[in-house]
Amino acid sequence: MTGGSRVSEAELHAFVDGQLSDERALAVAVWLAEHPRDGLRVDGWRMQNDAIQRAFPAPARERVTLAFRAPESDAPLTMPATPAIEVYRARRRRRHTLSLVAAFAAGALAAGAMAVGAHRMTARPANPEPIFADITTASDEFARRAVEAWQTYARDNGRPVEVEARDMAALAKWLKDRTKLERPPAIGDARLIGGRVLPGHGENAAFLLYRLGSGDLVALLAEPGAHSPGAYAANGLAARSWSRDGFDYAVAGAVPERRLDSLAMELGRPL
Amino acid sequence: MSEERKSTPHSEALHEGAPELRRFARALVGPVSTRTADTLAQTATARIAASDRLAGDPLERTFAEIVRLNRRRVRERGRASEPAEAVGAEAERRDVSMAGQIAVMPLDEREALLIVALAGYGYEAAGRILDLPVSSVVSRLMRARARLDGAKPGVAPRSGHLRVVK
Repeated sequence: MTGGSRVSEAELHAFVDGQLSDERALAVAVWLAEHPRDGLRVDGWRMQNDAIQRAFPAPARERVTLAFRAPESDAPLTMPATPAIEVYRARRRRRHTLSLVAAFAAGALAAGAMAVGAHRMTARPANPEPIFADITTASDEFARRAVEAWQTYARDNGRPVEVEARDMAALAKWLKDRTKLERPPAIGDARLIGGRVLPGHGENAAFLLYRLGSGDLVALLAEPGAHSPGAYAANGLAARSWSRDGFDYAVAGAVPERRLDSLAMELGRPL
Repeated sequence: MSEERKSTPHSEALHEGAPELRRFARALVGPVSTRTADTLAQTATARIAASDRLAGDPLERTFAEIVRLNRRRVRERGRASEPAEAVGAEAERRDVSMAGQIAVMPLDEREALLIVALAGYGYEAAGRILDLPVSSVVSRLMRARARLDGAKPGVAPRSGHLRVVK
């Protein structure tokens, strides 16, 4: 008997790398206790990580050469432990601790896995959906929001935008006042139709709607933030997100993802 | 210009992180190019230290600069898929095996594996450093680990069942 839930390959890796929440890590530990083959693979990746650490010794133990001294700097050649690197090492220690906790949990749960599984099955209804989808990041979440906004407004034939781009000065000023976006970005072969203000995380988000030369509508969502690049796709809709100059952007539409990539590049997503 | 470099807020933090940066650069470049790796780390450190941009962790940005410089180096030399030379035989056998396998990995997989498993960054930060969506970081990491699994004697590569996360 199992918990009835499937753990994705990506989540097994995320478990090894300490990238899951405590709750999810515990649930993966349950899964591993019930699926020893996956447990062996996870152990193998942990051993790989350890071997990688051993394969590349830290140069900190080596004598620092004069050649490495940064140009035009008076910094000493020795490198004492200081806050920045301590933060870095603390992060690594935390990962190691989490890993030990997870390993302990896996071991403890191996003994009582059946009982735990039975409890989980009887304590609440079985969830027909996998308890773990693919890893979703804040960046992917922003891309998902752009897709949802496109669904809501781009399909509104009557009033897709609040302020039309015919009065660009008014649109730009309004968006700047409400969302801090300096000005609506231009897309080469696309025409800006107008914009909306949407609720954001902390700040308002700007929603801009463009019509491409192909006739397709694409939305650009922008709000203050600094996330890494993300992506989302579902039901023929897709989005790409990135960050630039203190703003998160996401471009979404019912167009080929390759087209979205080129739009994102054009709008400032780094290569 | 030198005065400006001295006064930037990043200089001290980057000197503190220098061993980690050099270690990463050496692993990324390969076992026979320590000098090249150190030059990459030094150049990246100097550039970020001289930068007046305050946003973001300077150490993280320096890792990203090392990645960027190395990609350019590989592109310019046209050696993206060329395996590195064999590791010295005097090195410890187990480490030789791991370093050697990583050295002959495709660059995209090597970057993802090293930034997570060696430098210790989480997936979000790895995405920023490698300038990739997190899903791409994870899929590359998965391929790299599958490659290492497949390199073990008696263990067949299992790329067939890997699910690439879009």
